[in-house]
Amino acid sequence: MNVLELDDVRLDLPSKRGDRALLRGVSLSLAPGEALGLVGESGSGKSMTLRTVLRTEPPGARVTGRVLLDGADVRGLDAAALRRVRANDVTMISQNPRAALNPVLRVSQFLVEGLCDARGESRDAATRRARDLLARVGIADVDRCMGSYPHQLSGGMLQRVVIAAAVASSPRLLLADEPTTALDVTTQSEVMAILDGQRREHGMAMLFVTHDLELASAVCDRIAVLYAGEIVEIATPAQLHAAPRHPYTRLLLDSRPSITARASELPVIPGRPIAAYEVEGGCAFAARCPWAAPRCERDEPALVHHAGRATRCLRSDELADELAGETPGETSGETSGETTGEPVRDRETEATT
Amino acid sequence: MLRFVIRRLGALAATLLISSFLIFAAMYAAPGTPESFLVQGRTVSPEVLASIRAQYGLDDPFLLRYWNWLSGVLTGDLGESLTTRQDVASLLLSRIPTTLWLTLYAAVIIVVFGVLAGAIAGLRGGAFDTAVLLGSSVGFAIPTFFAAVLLMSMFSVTLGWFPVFGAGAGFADRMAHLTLPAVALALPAAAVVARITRTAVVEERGAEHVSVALARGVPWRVVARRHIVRNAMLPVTTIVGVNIAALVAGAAVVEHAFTLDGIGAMLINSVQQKDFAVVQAIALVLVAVFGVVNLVIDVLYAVIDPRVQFGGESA
Repeated sequence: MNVLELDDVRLDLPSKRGDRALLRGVSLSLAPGEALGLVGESGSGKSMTLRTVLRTEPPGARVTGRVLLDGADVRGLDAAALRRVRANDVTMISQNPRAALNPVLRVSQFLVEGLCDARGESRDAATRRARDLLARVGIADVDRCMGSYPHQLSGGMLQRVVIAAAVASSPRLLLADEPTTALDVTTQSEVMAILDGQRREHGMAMLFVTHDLELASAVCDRIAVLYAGEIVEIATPAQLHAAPRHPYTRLLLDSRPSITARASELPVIPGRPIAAYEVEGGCAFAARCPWAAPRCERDEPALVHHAGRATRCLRSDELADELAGETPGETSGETSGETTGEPVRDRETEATT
Repeated sequence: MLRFVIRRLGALAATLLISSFLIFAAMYAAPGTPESFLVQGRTVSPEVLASIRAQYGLDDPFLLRYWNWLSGVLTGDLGESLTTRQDVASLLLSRIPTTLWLTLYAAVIIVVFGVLAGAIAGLRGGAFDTAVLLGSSVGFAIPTFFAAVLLMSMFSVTLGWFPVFGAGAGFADRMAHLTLPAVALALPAAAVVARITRTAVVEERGAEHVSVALARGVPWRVVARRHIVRNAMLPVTTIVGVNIAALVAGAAVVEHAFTLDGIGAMLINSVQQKDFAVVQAIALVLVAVFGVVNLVIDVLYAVIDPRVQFGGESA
């Protein structure tokens, strides 16, 4: 049985100008031990999807659809049962560790309360486990860390503490909401390695939210690309990189700056990302899609499952070859010119004189 | 921390010195003279007036009079009351217990009812929240002297629950006598504290570490106590401190209204009688109390918030 299954999850947030849809029917499943990446631009609904699992969505939000955790619907749990799920089965790592810890409590209190107050373990046992966990996430001076207040530790150290707390209960599912975004680059990879190691060691499934397609590809078994509150494509990292089936995925891949080629201008996806509540029938991405046909504005595409992957595009079959190859509007001549670096150098000398 | 306290005590001494001068100068500059109060409108020969002035040193230059008084204070001699000819120090000592009990009682009311009402309002919301908001507006708007009269007429005269005046003897009797005055004294401050506490609690409720704690399965009552109320106490402590320090000064009105023999009532009488020595002594006591209470609050603040460092001792 799947650890997590989201079935047509919709989320509406009431605002002064009527309800605003943030999720327009998200469905996904996660096998035990599997890591699924949720990728998309800001506002695409990736964090909101995550928050429906632990029911930490903003107050007033209306959620429909089913969120099944080991087959039981989380949305229907009473307060006590929900608290047990949060304490034992699902944990969450948020973006900014500094905001996640109470600034006036010591690290030891933060770690112990998750075991002691939430799970009813004895204070002594909880303290011993907390020390053990800190050592396991690579903290050298455990005593000093346990006695420290959050403001005395670096962001990387704090995120290790948060990871230690998250794996403490050996949960079945780990929700990671951009766990490295607030950290500097060198710390990012360290923290990511620790997170990945701990996940494998404890055999946890992971739902990993990020805007970094590369990072998701490195640590996830499958990647779901979100756009305007719905999933537009799900595939393995290898499938996505070799042959994206949705135009949005293709453009996301293209907008990563390359390390090997120096681009004269970073490619951007035309137009602006639209919010889920702005979608008015038809394909949500049609307005920005270079391959959009008249029927894309009219007909709403469904998520079609095919050969272990899923795509939400009316033209995905006819565009298959094109999406796997070059980007439209970029001729091969231009690309080769950029790789040699000639036009770029010309521009730089112009700028300096 | 010891260095911090010592430095603050030094600053307090400097504050006392400056305020003693200001108080002395203000009394000197105020209209009316002590001897005219002493003779109380009777026609007195200029010779008698002159002898009175000489006796109290009223003809000495201002700075000399200030110096004479100050050197007396520094050696523990607060002088002699002009009107009663009694030693000011012993006069004060006999009056201090009433004021001390009154302000302590009021302080307890402020902390218990103000903080408790504010915290519950902030945590629960709903009807209780609305009631606290309304009640605090009313409590803050009612002047202390009016509250005193209102409480007296309701609980002493009409219901007969509490004595109307006097300070009482023995602990229980004293508490019974001081209840209405303490309530009248505490009312505006308790209202402010309740409102500040409520705002702080509501704000802290929305903090990310609170939702993180809840998402980790920590029970609500633990989160409310350890994460919400505890953190909300940081701003509340400051407000409580300032309000308690101000109680000693506010006690004057209440003591006068309930005819209590505390130093507040004594201050009012002395000012009317231009009794220099007594006014100056009481004013100094008020400044000292204010300074000491604030120092205590600052130390307390550093104890409850680990991020606060004592005045630049370390980074």
